[in-house]
Amino acid sequence: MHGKSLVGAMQVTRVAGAVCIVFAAVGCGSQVVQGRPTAATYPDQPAFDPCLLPDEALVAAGVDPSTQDPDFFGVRMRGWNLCKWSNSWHFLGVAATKVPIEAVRENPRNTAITPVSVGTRDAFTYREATPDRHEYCDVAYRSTDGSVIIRTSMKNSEEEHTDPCGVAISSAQALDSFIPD
Amino acid sequence: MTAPNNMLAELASLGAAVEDGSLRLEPGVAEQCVAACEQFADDLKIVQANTRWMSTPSAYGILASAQTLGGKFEAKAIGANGLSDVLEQHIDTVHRLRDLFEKAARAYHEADARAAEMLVNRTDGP
Repeated sequence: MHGKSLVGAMQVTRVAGAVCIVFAAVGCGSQVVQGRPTAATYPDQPAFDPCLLPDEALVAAGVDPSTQDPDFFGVRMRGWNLCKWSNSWHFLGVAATKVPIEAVRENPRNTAITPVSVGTRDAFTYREATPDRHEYCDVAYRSTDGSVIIRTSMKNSEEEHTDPCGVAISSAQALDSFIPD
Repeated sequence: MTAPNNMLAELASLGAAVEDGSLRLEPGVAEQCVAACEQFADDLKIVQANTRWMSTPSAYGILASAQTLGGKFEAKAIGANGLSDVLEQHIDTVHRLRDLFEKAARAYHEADARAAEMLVNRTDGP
């Protein structure tokens, strides 16, 4: 009886050991992994994934890489790759979408469209025509398979940094060399 | 969760307690509460920023029915009295709470300094 229990305990130990080996083999919980946790993936996602932007690019854009927040409340949307970060006073989001730049420019929801240059790219800033007390601004430009949208929004409307479009353009310029054409 | 109006009434009551000097806190507690309020308000702002992003893809649907559905969702998310507005009210409430704790901390330190000064005066006296 006693011996049988010991065998049982040894078997449990052996199984637990095997499980540990499996976890060790896949590197469970011990490594920092770039990108996003497993989520629904679609064959028609944009080629560019902003969650793979290197830390140096994010630091240059003035945000903390450790604040990375992928997707839409954690849900990946068909045709959109989205990643967001923040610092003490604003949020920065970068989206790659299959939506053509013409559709972004002509969408009646987007107002105050203003042409700007980001590196050698023809871009424009705009605001979505919806009420929001926090200041925000988008920069958009054409990509090979759609558009890239870079959005800033202020954490507090009374912040001294009151030009969200200026912040969005600065961020877009800092990220420019890391985003494919 | 406490309704915002009830919370505001509680805050007003606590504010009155601060004003008449009857609110008591341990040293450092108020500062911790201020930090907790700021963290909570930040978390709410993240949800708010995410809410705005959530409504963006719906503006580019191809099917008319999808655009209609997207429009309704957008109204719930960032329209008048939508989720974003409700979050804004909660953020305002948390900011009031933070201000209350800051006021309490200031009152505590001022009272402490006054008491220390009185003690020094008594010790230095004849």
